[in-house]
Amino acid sequence: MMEAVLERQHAKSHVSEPRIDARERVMGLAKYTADWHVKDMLYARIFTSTVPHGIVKNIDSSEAAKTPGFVDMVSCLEDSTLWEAGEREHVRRVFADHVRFVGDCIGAVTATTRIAAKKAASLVSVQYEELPASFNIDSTLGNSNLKIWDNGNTIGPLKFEYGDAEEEFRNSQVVMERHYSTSRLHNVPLEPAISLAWWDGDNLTVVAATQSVHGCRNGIAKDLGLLPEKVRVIGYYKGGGFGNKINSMNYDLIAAICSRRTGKPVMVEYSREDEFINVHGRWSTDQDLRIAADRDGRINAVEVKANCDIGAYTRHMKRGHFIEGPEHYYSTEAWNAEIYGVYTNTPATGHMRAPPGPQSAFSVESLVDEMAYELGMDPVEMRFKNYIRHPNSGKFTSNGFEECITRGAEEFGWKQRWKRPEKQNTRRGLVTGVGVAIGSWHSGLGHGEAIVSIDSTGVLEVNTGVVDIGTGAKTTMALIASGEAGIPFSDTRVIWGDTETSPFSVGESGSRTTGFTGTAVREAARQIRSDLLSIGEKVHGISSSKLEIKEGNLIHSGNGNVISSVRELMHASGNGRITKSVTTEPALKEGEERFVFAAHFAEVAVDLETGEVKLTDYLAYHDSGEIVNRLTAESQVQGGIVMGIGMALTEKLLISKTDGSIENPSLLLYRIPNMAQIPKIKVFFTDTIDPYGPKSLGEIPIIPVTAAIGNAIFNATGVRLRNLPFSREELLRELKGKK
Amino acid sequence: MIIEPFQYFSPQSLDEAFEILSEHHGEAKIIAGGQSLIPLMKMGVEVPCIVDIKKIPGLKAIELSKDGLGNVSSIKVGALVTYNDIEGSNPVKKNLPLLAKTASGIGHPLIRNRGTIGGSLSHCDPAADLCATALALNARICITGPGLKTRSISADEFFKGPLETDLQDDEILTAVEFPVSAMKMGYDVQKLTLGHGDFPVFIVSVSLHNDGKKFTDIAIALGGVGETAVRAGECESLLNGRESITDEDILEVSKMITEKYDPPSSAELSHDYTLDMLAVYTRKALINAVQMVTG
Ligand SMILES: Cc1cc2nc3c(=O)[nH]c(=O)nc-3n(C[C@H](O)[C@H](O)[C@H](O)COP(=O)(O)OP(=O)(O)OC[C@H]3O[C@@H](n4cnc5c(N)ncnc54)[C@H](O)[C@@H]3O)c2cc1C
Repeated sequence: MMEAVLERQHAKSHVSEPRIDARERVMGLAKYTADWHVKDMLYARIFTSTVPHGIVKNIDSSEAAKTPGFVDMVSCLEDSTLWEAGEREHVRRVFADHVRFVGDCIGAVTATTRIAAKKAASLVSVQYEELPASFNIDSTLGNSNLKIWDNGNTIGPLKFEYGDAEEEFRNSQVVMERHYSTSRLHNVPLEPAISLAWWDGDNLTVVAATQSVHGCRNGIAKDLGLLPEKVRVIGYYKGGGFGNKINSMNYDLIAAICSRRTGKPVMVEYSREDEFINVHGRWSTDQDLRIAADRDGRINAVEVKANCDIGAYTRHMKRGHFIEGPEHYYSTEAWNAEIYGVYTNTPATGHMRAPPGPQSAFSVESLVDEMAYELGMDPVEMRFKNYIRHPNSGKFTSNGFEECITRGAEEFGWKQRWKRPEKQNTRRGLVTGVGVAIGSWHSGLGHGEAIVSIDSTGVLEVNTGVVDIGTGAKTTMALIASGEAGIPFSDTRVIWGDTETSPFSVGESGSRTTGFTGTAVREAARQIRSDLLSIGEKVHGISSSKLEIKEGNLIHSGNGNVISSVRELMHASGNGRITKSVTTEPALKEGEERFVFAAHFAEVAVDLETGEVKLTDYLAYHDSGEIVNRLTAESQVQGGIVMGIGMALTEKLLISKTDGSIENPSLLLYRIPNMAQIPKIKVFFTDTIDPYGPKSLGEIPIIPVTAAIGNAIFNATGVRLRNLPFSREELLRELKGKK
Repeated sequence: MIIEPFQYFSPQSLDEAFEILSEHHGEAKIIAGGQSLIPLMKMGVEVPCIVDIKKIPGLKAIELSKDGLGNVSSIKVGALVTYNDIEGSNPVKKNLPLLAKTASGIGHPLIRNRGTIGGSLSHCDPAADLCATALALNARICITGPGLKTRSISADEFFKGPLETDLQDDEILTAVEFPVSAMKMGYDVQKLTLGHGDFPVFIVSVSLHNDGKKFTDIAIALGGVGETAVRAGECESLLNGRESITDEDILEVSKMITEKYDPPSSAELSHDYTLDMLAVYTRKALINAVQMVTG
């Protein structure tokens, strides 16, 4: 099978199709979880800890129970279900009896209306035995009485090293040492957390706002002690997740638990505030970096030492990988990283678009920039000199990094726009500057399943377990199938998002859908085409090697004549539906590594009197291999960049110094960027062909953004900002200090 | 989510509105654009009864009055005129450009589609954009009470404190009247916000005239620096009547402003910074306004 995929050498795709569900989404016809109404449905609302750290001693629900509409209350005192995906290093319960942050879920109230549930939940009173708590990295590391977890309050160190860093630092001509920090962030999907569950005997159905119906099903089954086939998860329409709707969520379990207790369907719906507090966001980092280079601009070694505030729970799957990525940007002689995850009594952290990616890129890409200016080098030249050509051992399956950097610089007009920073003589008005940053990200291969069929009318049907969290996965799957089978896109239908009807998919996380599930779709569609050619041979007596299927027609490849439509062919064959069910398990060959690459270019204007930064231009050049659908691919890149702009300029979870609670759990106070702050973002893709098909795309766009903007601010002002989000106040202070 | 149930009335006339207001005395709140009232109710403020005045005729007009020579002497903006309507009105743009500019800078397009001048002034947030500009333009507030009794007072007398005005529970703000001058004018509005489209931390609204010889009617209105929007009278007198206003004069006034007024700080912006910015934004507004009349 792999041979077929390896043979593909498609030209750069110019396909640009709107999402197949665009109309229903825009017109309000798409049925999101919150739009479901099931007979006799009840509503559950969680109640949560008001102390940062403690043991629940008593729960009084007598007032809550008086609320008209009150049906049931469940809490940590009677339910000890575990939520395995909720914390990777320790055991976390759905309802915590040992609460570890203000907002930790203790129980839920079920009622006949949303309002009654909210009211009743607010009337539950909980007594605690309070324990010492910590709200930041320093106080966790410095407090020996603190026991957020019994076996220690940190994870790590994660060590990653190659070469002899000490030796390089000793022998290099220039060494720089800097501190960088990034803030706690939230994913802020448009659709807050929600789940609807009901039981039919011991069969459970969950309508979930999940990024993966199969991951969700498997998690729920495990946590509730059910066989996976007893659980059906439906997830048709989603309002985004960016990593915080991954696998089974505690609210899925809560809906199931409340439904089992009451015997009625139960919907659990989070408010925006709940979403900010109870669903994880991105961890913050405190990083000390060192870089060693020679005067000619050659980077010899990088050292990263970091502590990361991972909150009370970490949902991040890869043990300790809280800083990761930049070791694959450059070819250095040595790399040395030592990373700790530090627990604090603050809300949980976990996956958010390229989980450790942008934090790690920010520090390294700022530092490389600092080194470029220190050496008097053009920052693009510095990147060009050092970008990774080959991994430490073995080779990349494809590498379009050079094109990203050089063509990106050309398209942006870098040579004309970049100027060495001059001493600012003026004190008023706007100054502009440009910045560059690069990045890479992994692009795995893995298990894919798909069922593709063609019916007697010639309609192609693609059935996969994708959920289309916002990536356009349905459209991508349909395009792959239609292109490979030779059937028009308009005659292609998609079945998706239900464990009962669709085969397994990893779901939309880790930039995997197009690569993993798409590979299976491609193979199944190829088999369909091959069957159609055999049928053509049988029906028309022409060798299948002389036949092709194009745009829904059987074609004579010799003269290009249309022999019949696929619809007529299916009819003439007398066959019914042809179905191909395919599982693919592509794997890299020994020594191969598969990565995607990007170079970003930004221009900012800074008001010298106020320190305000306005992003005035942005260009991204990406190697993600073959692009299946330009339109949705471009949107993915722009979306990632917008999230990066937020991280650079506006977003920060404010954590209370007195109890670790979130002080800005609303869209009024937690500011995601709005349209006025976003310039037109130009997106380009390289012509790279990867032998394994399309590479990953969803995560990498956010990675270089913060550094590109920070580097542009430096270019404009001569001020280097090293803490995210960039503060106009800090910038102004530095500007004044410089005069 | 609004948790507490409430009654909703939609009177067709002022008379009917006053009837409802008197029946639900002390419990009823008028709703116009709902851009402040609804968020408050979502935050848990209990309002047992809301009276929607949008069906009452006559509150959406923009009326011009003319003097004997046919020049526009004042413009009356109905209470229900939205920020968007203000921004798009030709007579307003021509005669009260400061008002148009202020309205166009409020919040986001969604807010400007719904928020009304009457609502903004009645709500009386100390940092609201229109409160400062109403003061800068010497607006008069037209009020109607039970029995259709009308009165009008200056904006200055109208604003009493944070979210507190001279309006009685049973009164409705029906219009805001702005005097119009034929003299050459300069104006600007500048504000510090935490993010684009956010409520101002503070706002500086400046209006001035020049009769060809000297500067007159200098108005510097500040929002967000006290209990209500205020006029910086002492600073105005420093510039009033001058034949020319130099950068140095403006610097002096900007400095004086920071000695007399105190903008708030927040988790994100320190007091040192907001105070610095008060001087910077005042200076920017004054420079722009002065340049308009001096070319
Ligand atoms: C996201 C967001 C951003 C915003 N940003 C800004 C900003 O940048 N600058 C700014 O100035 N404002 C801003 N606002 C507030 C906005 O301007 C409100 O629209 C305004 O304060 C109230 O006008 P309204 O017509 O919506 O009044 P409503 O919300 O309907 O009413 C407000 C109050 O005034 C009373 N009231 C309304 N009309 C009358 C009347 N005719 N007579 C008597 N009482 C009346 C009501 O009873 C209520 O107490 C923002 C609001 C939001 C939601």
